[in-house]
Amino acid sequence: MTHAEVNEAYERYGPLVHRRCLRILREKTAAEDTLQEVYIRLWRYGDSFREATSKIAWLYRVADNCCFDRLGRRGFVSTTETAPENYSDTDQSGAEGKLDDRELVLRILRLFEARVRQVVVLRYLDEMTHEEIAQETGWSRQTVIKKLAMVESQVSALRQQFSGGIDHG
Amino acid sequence: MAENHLPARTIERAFVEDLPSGELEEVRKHLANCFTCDDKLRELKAVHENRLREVSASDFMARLAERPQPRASSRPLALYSAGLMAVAACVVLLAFVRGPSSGVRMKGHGVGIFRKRGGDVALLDGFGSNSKIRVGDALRVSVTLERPEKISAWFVDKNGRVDPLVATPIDFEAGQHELPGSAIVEAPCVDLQLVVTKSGGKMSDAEIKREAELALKNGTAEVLRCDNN
Repeated sequence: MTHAEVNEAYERYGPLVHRRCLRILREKTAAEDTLQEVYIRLWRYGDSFREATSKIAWLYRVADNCCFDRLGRRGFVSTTETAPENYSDTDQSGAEGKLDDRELVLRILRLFEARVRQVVVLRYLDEMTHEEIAQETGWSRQTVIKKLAMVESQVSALRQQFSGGIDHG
Repeated sequence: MAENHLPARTIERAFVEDLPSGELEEVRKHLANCFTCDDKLRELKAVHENRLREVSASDFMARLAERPQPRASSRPLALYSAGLMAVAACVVLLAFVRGPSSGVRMKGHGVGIFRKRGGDVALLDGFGSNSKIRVGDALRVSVTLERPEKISAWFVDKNGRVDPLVATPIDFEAGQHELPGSAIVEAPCVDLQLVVTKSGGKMSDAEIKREAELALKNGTAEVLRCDNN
């Protein structure tokens, strides 16, 4: 892709891709680095981006893979994360200031294997239906349901373990 | 997630106008009547503006230019395809060469690619549906040697990117050995060749690519297809 095309793709989609990286990685520097990695790939493999039906889906998929790789490769631990100023977290916590399921599951994302991470992100970040996730991942709907049930059971176990005592933030 | 509200992805796609026009109209109608979804859209706008204020496009492009070119590490291996939903044929070609510029020596012999998918491991032989690869698969390579050799291995994609699997030659005794490291198949993917050499000498990316091209030309390659369904 040309410099101008990548520039345009950043202006249009970059902030959302950055936000997604931030939500998955929970660390500003890592998110920034990953965003650059995504756009380097765009620069190099722009032909397939041009052909993609959904540009944002293409970028999200690449971003997810980069994030998951980072989570897996470095055993990324999100205990020192900082919430960036421009990252609205109004949807992160429940009414009592406790972590909601989405936030909790994202915090333990690195514990799951790569494809389960994908399912988790599609469900909890993108709010896709089981059918949509099945389409996106190539798994059957039944498998998606099973995987999510497994994730939910782990979240539930974590909740019990911490007795709702994890403070947001 | 409330059933009557739009999924987050849909709102995001609407925000960047990444939906077909008919669908976009429907979403806009919903947004006009749904405070909750419209609020999420406003939040996206704020995130978008703040980010561009913090890192403008020109700053971002300058950062990209400063980054070292993406030289591959041994993993993950990125196999890129056209589009996320597209059923793209991804081809893995396998070449086993004796050394730089010496030509391809063996076909389908001496090298095995193992695919790990979930808990299942399969040897890819180039035939049948069980030999396909897809996004998320991990690939490992084994070599069978008649005598002690120095082994190196690279993946070359059709765009000319060279990813070392074993960049520094490893001394192996005669017998079967698994090469260290693995490659993860990522979306999107493109055609791929694996080049394994039995030479202790260094090979440049250009030489590796030439060997890969030679294998294609000579037909001395196993073909494994990527199943994106």
